[in-house]
Amino acid sequence: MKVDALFEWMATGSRCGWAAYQHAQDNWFAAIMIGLIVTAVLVNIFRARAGKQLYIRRIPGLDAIDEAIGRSTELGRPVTMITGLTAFGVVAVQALTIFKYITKQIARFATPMRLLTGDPTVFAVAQEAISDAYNEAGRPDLYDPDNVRFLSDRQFAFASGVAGLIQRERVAANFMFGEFFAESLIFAETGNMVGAIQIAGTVSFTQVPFFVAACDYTIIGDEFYATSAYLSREPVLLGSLVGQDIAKFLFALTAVTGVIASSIVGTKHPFIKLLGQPGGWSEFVNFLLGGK
Amino acid sequence: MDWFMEFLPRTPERLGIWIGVICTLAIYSLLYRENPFYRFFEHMYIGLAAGYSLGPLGVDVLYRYWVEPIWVQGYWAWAFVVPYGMYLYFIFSERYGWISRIVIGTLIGASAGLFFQEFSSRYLPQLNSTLQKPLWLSSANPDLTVSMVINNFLFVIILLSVLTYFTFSYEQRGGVKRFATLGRWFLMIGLGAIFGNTVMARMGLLIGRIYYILNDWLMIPIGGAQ
Repeated sequence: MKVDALFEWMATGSRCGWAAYQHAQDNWFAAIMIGLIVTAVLVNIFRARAGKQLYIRRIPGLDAIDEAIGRSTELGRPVTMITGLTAFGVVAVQALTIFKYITKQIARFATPMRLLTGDPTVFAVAQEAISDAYNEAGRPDLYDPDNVRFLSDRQFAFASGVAGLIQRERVAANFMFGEFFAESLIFAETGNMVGAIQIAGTVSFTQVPFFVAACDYTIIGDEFYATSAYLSREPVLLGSLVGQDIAKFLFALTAVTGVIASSIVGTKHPFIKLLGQPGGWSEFVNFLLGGK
Repeated sequence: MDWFMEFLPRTPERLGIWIGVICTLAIYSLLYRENPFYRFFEHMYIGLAAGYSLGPLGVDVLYRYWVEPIWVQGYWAWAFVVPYGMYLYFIFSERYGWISRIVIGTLIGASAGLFFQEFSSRYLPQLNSTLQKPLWLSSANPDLTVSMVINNFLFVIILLSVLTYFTFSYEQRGGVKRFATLGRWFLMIGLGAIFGNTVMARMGLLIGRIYYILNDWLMIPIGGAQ
């Protein structure tokens, strides 16, 4: 009771803006599932850190990255890397991990590059990441802060800026990784017009069709996370990816068990409600205790 | 002659339409090739957007999420938020650059935490919804029809095959690979549907622009307009 009163105070009475507080609402299935997924991810991160070689299958689009860089070097034209309007967060960090890998590759051949972003925070972090990449490649002299550019945080102003730059500089390779919205096709079509090799990867599912249609290679959905893990070989990313695979297996197992159970006992049975419906846990306990 | 006099930008309304059309044609000129006309309007657009961003930043962000909670609603703890966020500017200092990493860490942590919330509120209900798909007719599900059963079978096969395609920690061979390839095909069919749908919406936007040029600017009545 005292705990409930504390939560109530945190939610409404503290005047400290903690009104966003949420609790499990009796959805113990959600809590258990998240607990299992977190355990799977953490265990695999520790395994990777302990030196265990975790296997990640190669994604077809990855081979094309080196091919595109090679073509840019031959033509002496720049490579563009676009994070889109990705706000700073997990997706932006993964995109920058991929761009760091690409920058290290192009640093070996002194190929010119432009990184374009529509988020000021990503811009600040990208400058540091690209500078690190040149340092790690042993070519700090090639780093020019002007090559990492913040154009605009307004969607179509950013799109017009990117389209203009791609056309003006006749880029030979265009990499687009991050979150994209309606501007995705503008980038991809402009790249196509100048004959650039284009590789795109996004977690924005609704934009994938445009990249599939206009790019040479597309990295879809979760492949985006797999790409950054594969390229960086970071234990945290590798462990997370293997942990996520276990989570997917858990989901598939729950789905198969659930559909078979709902076929036998009906969709309104307390066991089905137990698997993910708020309040399902107490209804299932009541059912077990002989109540309705 | 009357048409021509009306066509000229002699009133503020007509002037607005002329400017709109010039901007539209300038941006579309990129379809031919990059040119000074496009470049001028591109830079103007980016400059206007930067200026415009200041408005929403002041009104929709700083006032709504900082000034109003502190001064109107009395949530005093928000007072620390903006100074804390401004630590990010230390990224430009070689000596104190490490301070900016505290803010970056907070942003990453908050983003990861929100992922958990999203997972719980978005994907788990989808999982429970998946369980409501019986695979055969029985007395336990009296409302079920044959067409629903076929639909449910398709749903479960597509779900499992696409899920298999998006697993990475083992080499996909034999039956698993074939099942994953099936998932990829289903995925492409779905993406094709999204593509077609969005292209129609984009054509709608293009028609809107053409209508603006023909009807509003050139004053040619089309599509039933007077």
